[in-house]
Amino acid sequence: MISANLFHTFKWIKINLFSSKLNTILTLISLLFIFYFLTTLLSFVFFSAEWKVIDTNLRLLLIGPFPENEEWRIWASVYWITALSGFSFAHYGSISRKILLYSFLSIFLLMLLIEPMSNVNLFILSILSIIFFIVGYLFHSIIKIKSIYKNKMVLIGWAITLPLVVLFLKIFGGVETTKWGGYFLNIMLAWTGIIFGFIFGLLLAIGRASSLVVIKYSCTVYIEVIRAAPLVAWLFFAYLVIPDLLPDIFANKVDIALRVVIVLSGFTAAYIAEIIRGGLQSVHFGQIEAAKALGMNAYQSTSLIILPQAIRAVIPALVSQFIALWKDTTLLLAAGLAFRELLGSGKAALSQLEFIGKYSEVYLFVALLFWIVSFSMSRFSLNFEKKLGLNKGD
Amino acid sequence: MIKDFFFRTNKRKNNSIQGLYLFFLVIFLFYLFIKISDLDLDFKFLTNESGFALSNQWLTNYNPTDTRIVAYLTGVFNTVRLVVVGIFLASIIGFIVGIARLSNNWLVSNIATAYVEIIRNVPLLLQIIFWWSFALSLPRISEYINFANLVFISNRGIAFPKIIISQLSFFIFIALIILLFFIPSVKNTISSKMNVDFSYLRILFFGYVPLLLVTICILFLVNAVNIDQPSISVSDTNVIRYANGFVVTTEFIAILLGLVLYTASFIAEIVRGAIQSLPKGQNEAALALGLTDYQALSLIVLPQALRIIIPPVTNQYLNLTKNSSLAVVIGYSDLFLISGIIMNKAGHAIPMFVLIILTYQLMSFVIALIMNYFNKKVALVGNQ
Repeated sequence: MISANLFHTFKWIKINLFSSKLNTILTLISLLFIFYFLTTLLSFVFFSAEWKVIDTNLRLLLIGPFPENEEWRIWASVYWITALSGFSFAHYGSISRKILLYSFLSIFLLMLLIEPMSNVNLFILSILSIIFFIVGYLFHSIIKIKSIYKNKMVLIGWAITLPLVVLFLKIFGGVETTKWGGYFLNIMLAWTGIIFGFIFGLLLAIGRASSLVVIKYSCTVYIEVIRAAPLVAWLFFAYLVIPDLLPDIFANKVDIALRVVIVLSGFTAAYIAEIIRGGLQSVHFGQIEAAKALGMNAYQSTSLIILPQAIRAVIPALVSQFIALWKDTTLLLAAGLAFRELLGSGKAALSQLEFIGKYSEVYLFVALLFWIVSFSMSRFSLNFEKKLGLNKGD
Repeated sequence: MIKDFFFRTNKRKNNSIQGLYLFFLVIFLFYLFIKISDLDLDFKFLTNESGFALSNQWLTNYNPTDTRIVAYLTGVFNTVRLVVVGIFLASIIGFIVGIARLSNNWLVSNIATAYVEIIRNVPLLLQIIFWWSFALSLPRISEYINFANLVFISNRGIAFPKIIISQLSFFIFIALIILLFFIPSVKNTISSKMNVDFSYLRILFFGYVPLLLVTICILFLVNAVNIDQPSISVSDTNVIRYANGFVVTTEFIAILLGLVLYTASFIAEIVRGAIQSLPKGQNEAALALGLTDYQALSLIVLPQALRIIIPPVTNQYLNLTKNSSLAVVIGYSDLFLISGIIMNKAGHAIPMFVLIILTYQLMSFVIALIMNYFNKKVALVGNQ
């Protein structure tokens, strides 16, 4: 038995690594490269790196200048989201246990990285979030209602999440947006940007495809002008020019965070509109004629026939645009805004006297936090595509 | 087709919707017009003295007493230089990684996958700042690293030997490059007259390359081409700097590394997708005809894949152009950084923004034009 396994292993190695001279050379070079890379990385992470800089600045990196006695607002939001995730996981049971296991494992590893014993409070509060997840998971099986109602609960739950989080952050005095920061600010900006950008982009795409000349051309002009300049330039624009253009009553009163969200979603909308336009063009004309023949009016056929097919066709492109927006939340730093999002906080941490030159540690940590979200978004879209059967064609 | 359908109810309703929309649009534009007319809108401020120094420049001989237009142009040239070098390198790395992802070799394909998945999921700005910090952590210029007196490395940048070409030899080189385009016709005449089929490579290696080498040697001997070795100079006030040679500054290295590696990961995905979308039979048929792996890739697979690759890669080039504005974070004086300085010093934000948008649009237009030309060429080859 063992020898047969060994034989297969050798055969696999022969076929995949040493099938020709060129392959052998490539394998050896790759092995050397991997060895060099891994030894450098591992010896850095476990021996030469001084993680104290992360440890000390963890608060700064995660929530920025958020007041300490108001932290419950963030924890309340986190618990709501984890409980809801638990509920959704239980509802869409088809999502494999593997993913669940991996996410728990990665959270656990993250916690180890931040040395639990030095941050006992943080450790306990994080463990609580896992408990909330399990509570949400169990709650799903305890309540005895029809699956269709549970479906509605999940959808409504996620729909009200953003308003709820904003409510948590604003009720009973609240925390002004200039005090928001860190990873938390990135998440909030990307989240609102995605939602409003998608809605606005959808409207723009429909407007551009419309036969009403004025609407069509004004949408086209908007899309093309926005796409002409980089996002940094628009953020700069929001910072410098918009105060001049607003009515005098509002000038200097419009929150900078609000301005940033408007720019982020307005910018993303232009790109999303172009993506959805591609989707609209891919919908077969017969579909529209069939909808007409069934007696649907313009609104019905658009929302029930055309858009679902158009959006379904462009889900990968949409998700990569969302990922781009998520990564672009770092541009606040480039536009010189007075916000400390994650990257800005990292830079601030590096300017502390005792941590000068520890850039590898800080940027590695920051990169990991960004990477987790973008990678899981791209995996999510892949799974979603498979579920919809988009890739079966070829 | 679709557009006939949206809002296709009745004409009067359409007109009323449109009228209402137009009404609000006109009010909005009128309001904007009033607001903007309060501000200064002419471009005269660009002719004033700029009054700030720049660390990177190329093609222009800029100094702080020049006008702001010259400063802006310096920025534009800096951006163009960055974009051209960036597109060139990103395409090469992107193609290599994209092909490596489909390699039979398990290790190679997995290394390529890891590269793509790591790089494209991390913000570009973070990568640029990381490379910048890395470049700044190189030894200081007083403790520079010296490779055989040819390459100097320090945290001020990398100094290479510079090739100084006289005017005569410049034209000779141009002539040699033009000669390169005549090789196909030379090949045709030789093969038709002598009845021997020389390959391109043979003519290139045994005809063209020796010619090139001999020319360069002669030009060297008559001192028409010189190599300017880099060196380090110390001034009276103990300021150490690179004196001669071709100096690539730290900022340029950092922004270039960031842009190239980031864009290459996207190009690699495009290349992989395009090759995978071809029918497998193409490659198998090529191998069955006795072509080697390399021949099958370069003669059969890539030419077909190029047709799919070019439009999305054009998009990536445009992204690279716009992303080059991130240079502002690390102080590489590209057009956006310089516009920022001008806006800070002189105000006039709106005219400056118009200028920025037009400049980026012009660059995008040029790139799109070039890529369309390639696209047509590739499509033609496919149709023959």
